[in-house]
Amino acid sequence: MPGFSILTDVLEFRAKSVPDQVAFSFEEKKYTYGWLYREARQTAAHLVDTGIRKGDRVLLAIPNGPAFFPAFFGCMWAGAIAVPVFPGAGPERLAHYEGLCGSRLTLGPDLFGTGKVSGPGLLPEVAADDIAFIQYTSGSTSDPKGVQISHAGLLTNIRQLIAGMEINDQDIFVSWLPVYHDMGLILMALVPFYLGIKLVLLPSSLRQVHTWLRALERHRGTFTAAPDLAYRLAVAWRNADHPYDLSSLRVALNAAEPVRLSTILEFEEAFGIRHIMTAGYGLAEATVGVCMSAPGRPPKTDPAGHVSVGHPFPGISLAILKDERLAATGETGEILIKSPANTPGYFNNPAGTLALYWEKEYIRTGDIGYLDADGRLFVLGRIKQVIKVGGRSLYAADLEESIDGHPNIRHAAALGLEGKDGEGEALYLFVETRWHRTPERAVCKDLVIEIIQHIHDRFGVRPARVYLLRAKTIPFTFNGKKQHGLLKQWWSEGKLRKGNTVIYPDY
Amino acid sequence: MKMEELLDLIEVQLGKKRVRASDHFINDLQAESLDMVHLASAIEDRFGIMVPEKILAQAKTVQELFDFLTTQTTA
Repeated sequence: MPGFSILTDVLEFRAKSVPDQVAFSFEEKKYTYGWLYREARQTAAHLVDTGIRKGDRVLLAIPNGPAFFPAFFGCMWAGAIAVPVFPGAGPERLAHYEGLCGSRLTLGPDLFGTGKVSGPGLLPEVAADDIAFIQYTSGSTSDPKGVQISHAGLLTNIRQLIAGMEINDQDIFVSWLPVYHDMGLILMALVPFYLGIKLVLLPSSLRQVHTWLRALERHRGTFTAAPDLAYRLAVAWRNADHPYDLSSLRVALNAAEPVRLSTILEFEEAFGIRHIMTAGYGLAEATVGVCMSAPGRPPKTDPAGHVSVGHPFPGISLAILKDERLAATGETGEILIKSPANTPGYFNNPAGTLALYWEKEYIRTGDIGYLDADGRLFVLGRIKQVIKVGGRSLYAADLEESIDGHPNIRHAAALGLEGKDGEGEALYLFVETRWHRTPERAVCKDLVIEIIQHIHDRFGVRPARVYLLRAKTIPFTFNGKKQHGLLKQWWSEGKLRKGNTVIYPDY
Repeated sequence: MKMEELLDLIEVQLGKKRVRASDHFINDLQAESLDMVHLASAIEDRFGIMVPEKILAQAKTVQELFDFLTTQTTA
């Protein structure tokens, strides 16, 4: 479909040529392109009637389900800029987003299907360079940044994803990823719409692994995506007596969080499948997808055990920035991306936009990595999650991975906190235990000693502090991203102490 | 502060079991200067006693550190 310049053109084409074809299914109900077209046009008419004009922002606080897409495409037709946000956000948080993007209207899950079908001419002209939607980036404590995505950028990245991941019309997508966030929206929903292939959409829950695995088995899913943590949960919670048949899987993309080799090997071993888990990398500032390792082959790792996220998709080039110059092959530095799908900038944030670009053509990712001799990318971590201890750079992700496998540990978060004595950063480890009741002190102490010994053996340094936390206290986004910034904020505000979150030690 | 409290704290900070008063920080406990800095900060948080850098460098054994800390608290 190279002729289309706006995604709604694709939807209109499908609604006219194959109106009865199923666009997606959700909770056993099927929704056709004809239905989606009518509902979206109605929403557009409703928006225009309400006084929404071209370029106005409309907040979408809608969970996974049939209500989201008419609202999303309705905004496109009305020339409005959709701003999808986490629908579970409270009124305070929603008001915060409303203030950030200056939205004039918020659409919830029940506000669709109203209004009248608009006649031609009522809706504004929309150009490819107009902003289609704004994706607020999550995970940091500072104000989230609104990444603007143009219609052209969106279509470009959809095509990059299809070409780079070799997605074809035989693929069957199964997804629980949130549709109000980039990977769940663009890769897992808009790509199938673009190609007119089957999409089984599930409620968004990181913890409903059985719903996910069952859907993959039942629908013979070939393509799914999730963060590393979700695959680990799938291995941990699978029913060993009745293993799901996932033999139809062609690609199980592992992205959005650091990819662990152990996760790939354990998932494939647990379900008796080989070379289907791919490692991917991307970010909202490049629309979503940037690169992915090739399926059908074993994961490529470096001597330190990092898994490569493969080559960039067609039309995208990568570079590494070190000391403000382009680094040589194998040198570690900040990952730069040159892509026609790069954002034109953050909404209403010229300073942030200026800082995003390097030499006009590249965006700075804030991620650390290197390119090997074959041009494969290895991502080592976030710049902000590099912890400088005793003149060495440690990556939070490596430290966390090294202790996460312990039977009494759920997850760990490594933070670099300002040391008291001007010694630079100090490594703090926050370790969430699996214990439902706090055991006696001696048991806690033994675990801390074991952790310190392990870190010391493996990395040659000792953490300044190790704190054991109650289960389910390390914050994650709805998307399965660990929120180091928020944890740091909680710690510095004394919130972890006050909330009795720290179970050991008491100083 | 009792010696056993200090031993407990050192064990937790350095990831060692059965630390003894006679243990030498470098030779027996493999503590590096950075570990000692963190230990001092933990002592401050746990017992409310500041450990000057000079003392940190001078105290070769757990006993020597303990002696310093107890003179501080009784003074």
